[in-house]
Parts: sequence; C-alpha cells; structure tokens
Amino acid sequence: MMMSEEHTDKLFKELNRLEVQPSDQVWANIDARLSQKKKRVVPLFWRWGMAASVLLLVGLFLMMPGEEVRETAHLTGKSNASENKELQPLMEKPEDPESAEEVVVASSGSERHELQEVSGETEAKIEDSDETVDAPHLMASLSEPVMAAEDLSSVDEDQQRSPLQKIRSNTHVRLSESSVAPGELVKLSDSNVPEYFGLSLPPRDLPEKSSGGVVLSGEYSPTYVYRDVSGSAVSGMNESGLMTSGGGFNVAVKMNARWQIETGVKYAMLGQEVTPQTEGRTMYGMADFSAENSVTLQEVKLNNSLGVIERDVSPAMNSDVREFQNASNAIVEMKSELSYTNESSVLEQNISYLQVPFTLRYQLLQQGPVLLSLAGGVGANWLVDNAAYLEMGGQRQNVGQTGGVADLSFSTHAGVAVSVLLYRGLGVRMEPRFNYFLSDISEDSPGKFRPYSFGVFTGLFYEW
Amino acid sequence: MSGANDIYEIVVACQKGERSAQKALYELFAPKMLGVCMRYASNRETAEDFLQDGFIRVFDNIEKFRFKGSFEGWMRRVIVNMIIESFRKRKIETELTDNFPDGDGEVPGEGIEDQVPSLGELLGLIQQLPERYRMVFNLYVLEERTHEQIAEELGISVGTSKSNLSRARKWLQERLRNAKKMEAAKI
Repeated sequence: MMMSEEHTDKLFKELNRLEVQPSDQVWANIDARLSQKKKRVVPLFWRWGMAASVLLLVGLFLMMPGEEVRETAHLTGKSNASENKELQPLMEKPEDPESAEEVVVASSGSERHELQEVSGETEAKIEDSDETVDAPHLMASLSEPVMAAEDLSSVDEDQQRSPLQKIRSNTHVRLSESSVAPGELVKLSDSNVPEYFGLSLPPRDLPEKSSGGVVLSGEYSPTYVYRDVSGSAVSGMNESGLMTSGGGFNVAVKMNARWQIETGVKYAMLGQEVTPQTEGRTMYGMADFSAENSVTLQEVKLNNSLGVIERDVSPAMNSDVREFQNASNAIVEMKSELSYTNESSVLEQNISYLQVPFTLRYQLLQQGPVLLSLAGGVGANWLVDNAAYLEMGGQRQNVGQTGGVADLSFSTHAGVAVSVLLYRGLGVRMEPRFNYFLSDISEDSPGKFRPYSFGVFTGLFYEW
Repeated sequence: MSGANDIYEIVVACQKGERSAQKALYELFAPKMLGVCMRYASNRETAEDFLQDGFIRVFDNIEKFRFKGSFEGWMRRVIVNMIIESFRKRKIETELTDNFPDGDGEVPGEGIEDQVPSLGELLGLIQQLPERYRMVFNLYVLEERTHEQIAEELGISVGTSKSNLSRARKWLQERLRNAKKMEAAKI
C-alpha cells in the first residue's frame, strides 16, 4: 500500500535534524578566501573612478591631433623630405615626385584641368602661407564619397579664388564606399589622367550638427549612497549605506561637434543607515515590584557621524509608559538594572537635495546610432528635506531630523554615457555616474561628512 | 550549546570582521548547515562546496542581519538561496540530465533495522533524486516554500514545480516500499 503524501513529507522532514561534521579543509578554504578578500577590498566608487579615468585617458589619446596633421600634410601635397620618405613606401609608383603629391583628383575632365593647376601651385603656396590646410575637411572628403563636383561655381568665381580655397572647395574624391578600407592605399585610375594615389583614412563619425543644437533629457536611477567621514567623527557606530533613487531634467547646448554644456534640476536623496547601541532598563513602580508591573525603557543613542538626530517632542512626555503618564499627580520612583537588550534598532537618516548641475560633456565616438560620451562637472545642492526614521520592534516611525545639515552644499560628478538614437532626434541614454560632495554637509558634526553616491541613470533625450 | 547572548556577541564581532568570531560562528553552525547542504547535493564533496560558498556569502552579508528572528534561520536562508542561485546557473545542464535512477535498487545507508528509516537512509534516497526534483522536494517539504515561490526562484512554472514534487514523492515512496519488502524478505 502506498504511504500518504503527508506521511512521506513528515518522514523526510526528519532530515532537518541532520548534522554532519565537515572536513577540516572546508574551514581552511573559507579562511583563505576571507583573507584574500580582505586584501583586495577596493571601494566600489574607486573601481568606477578608475574605470572612468581609463576611459578619459583613452578619450584624450584619441583626441591627440598629431597623427591627423601628418596624414593631412601628405594628402595636400605639403611635402618635405622626411614626410615623403614615410609616404613613398606605400606608393606603387614613387618615381614621379609630382604624381606622388597629386593625390587629390577630380572626377571630370574640366575639373581635372583646374586641379592640375591647383596642384602645381599648392606646394609653394602652402609653404609661403600662414594658413593651414583644413585638415578635417580634406579627411572627410577622402573618407566619405562626397559629391561636390555638381556644386562647383562658375569658372569666373573659381578663378578669383586662391589655390588653397580651390583645394578646400573642389578637392573631393569619388571613391567607392565598399571597396576602400581605412588605412588602405587607393589607386585612382581614369583613362584620361595619369594614375593617382590616395590614402584612405578611418571614418570620423562626427555628429551632424556641429554647434547651436539643444538637447533636452530626463533621467532616473536607483542610487546607492554612503559617505566619507574624516576628522573626529563619532566612531564605534555601525553605519551603512542606503539604496535610494534620484533623477531630473537636463538641458544641453552644443558648443561644437564634440562638446556640450549641460544644466538642469535634479532630485537626490542621501543619507545613511545606523545600527545604534540600544540599552534597555527594566523599571518598577513604587507600589508594585512584580514583573507584571515592570516596564522596559529602551534607550537608543541618537548621535552618529552625520550629527545628532533632533526630536521635537521629549520621549518621556510622549511615552505610553504608565508611570510617566502618572508622574504629574503621583510619586514615581523607579528601580532599574542596566542591561543590554537583544532587540535591535535601525536609524535611517534621509537628506534630500535639489541639485543644479553644470556639466561638460565630450562626445567621444559614434558608431551608427550609438554614441559614447564622457561627462563631468560640479553642482550646487539645496537642502529640501531632512528626516530620520527609527525602526524598532517591527515598527518604523519618524523620530525627527538630523541636526546641523547645511542648507547649501557643493558636489562634483562624473560619468560615462551610452546614447542610442532611436528616431530622428529622440534617443535613450544610460549613464553610470558617480557623485561626490566637495563640501562637508554637516555643520554641527565634529568630523567631516561628505556623501557620495553611484547610480546608473537611464532616460530619454531629444535633440534639435 | 551557546546561549542567545553568546550568539549575539559572536555575530556582532563577525559584523566587525573579527576572524576569531567568524571561526567560532563556523564551528557553531557548520555541522547543522552541512546537514542542510547534504540534502541539496548528490554527494558530500558537492555539499562541502556549498557549505564553503554559503559561509562566504554569510560573512559577506552578516552586517545586514538586524537581530530580528533567529540567526540560524537567517543563515540557513542565505545558504539555501546561494544553492538556488548555483542551481539556476546550471539549469540548462540539469534539465538535460533529469533521469530517475532505477527504482529497484537498494536503498543506500547503513541498512534498515526497523520500519522507520534512519536519517542516513533518507538522505541517501533524497541524494539520488535528479537535481531539479531534489531542489523542488527540499524547498517544498523541508523549507516549506509555496509552489509559487519555488517557481519564481527556480525559474520554472508553477505546474512544473507541482509535477516535479509529485514525481519526486512517488519515486521516494516506491523506493521506501521496496526497501521494506527487501527487509521483510531477509527476515
């Protein structure tokens, strides 16, 4: 006969009593792993800071103009001996110095004539002139199949231009998009002209709008906040960080193709969680020393590294302890025996700010609709809310506010953002961002209390 | 056995990262927690791996313990959750190998001396269950979680959780019945 489900379950519930002595190796492994962890504890914000620094360095490296100038000089025919030496090994036919310099060609016969004239004068003109060649313009012309030949002005207008201007306006090259890889030497063949060569450069995906555009955005993030304390802060408290949330709206103005300046209004909640030492005293009324007539008074320390939590009402007056309530018309004497209690209490201090940030954003690179940018700046923070909550015995109550919190504080922030354009100017952005207070937010606390926070802000933006 | 105050002091010291307290806590609870891990593993070696990872997780999160409820219960939940996470990571592999062993084999353990199987025998049976069935059975019967909770935690449907429990129970009942028959035949 099959035993019942209940009977089977009851039988196997006996396994809750099972105890097995582990081998010694288990603790040895745990001990080793704990030691390893202790050595390499690096605060999270340092890790993100380091990652942001690396990205910043990479960004700066990519911004270095040296390589571009050298390549441009080759392309425009501004030559000197050393540069020609660098270029020549790439050429299939280096025998004619002039042809090596004539890397810029037009796509039709009439334009060819003009360009031959240009290239004949270019070397001398550029060497004599203070003007520099518009390097990005030329590079863009070579890397993208720009169809500028149709836009050519009349011959009269053309003749009035300087050779350099002609280079700027007319030196567009038709190259097949699919056949040219970045860095590849390109041989330009045309039945009517001698062979020409050009060096294909990696595409530079610059944003379409170079300046004057406006970007509006909104963002939100769950945020982890904690603090950095220094000086003579209260020690011995078990303090920990908080998970809060924050967000806001930004408006950004494009200064040029790469740089944006941003400001806006954001809401940020900071604070900490404190597990204070709690003392309990058992107290007895004078008339009756029985245990039933005793009460236990809990004493929760309200000072911590952020300051002292101020209460509006005296806890004794606000108490439901019968002896305290009778104190106005009876003699109340209490016997007490100090004891520590196991009942834990948790204080949560919340401080909310409205932040007005000033942020510089650098657009590092763009691949299709995806854009990577670095952002950093400072912010002014106005205190808008300050509350402290005590959680004890399963109840959470507002117990006042943290004293001495500054009304205005200053902070700095840095982040790395990934933006994706979805439709026309509309896009989404995700930005891991670190925020750190430059000023001590607590005026009364003995030590310096500077909050920091980290969040991954996500939101929508719209670009005009 | 240490009293509640002793455990309180050990936990407070662990929250400060004191290694001697961590060792004391381990010595206090390791046998019981290995008992829990053994139920979720198919062998002792895996169970000790669970225990090791579980204690690391406990020490990493011990400052979150707010002294509400029993510490042992909290620790057990942390370790079981770690085992569940480990199971979820290996879910694809386990789904392919969920075959019940032959039901006619002997019940492992030290031998049946009376009609009530020993803890060793019960453990031997539960360890033979395919991993997902073992997880569901443990969570439902011994951790007293609901099918909804199990489904969410293991990433399966409520129906799958119910059918896995039913099948695991049936197999265990069959094995227990066979064991009794074999014992009766010996007598």
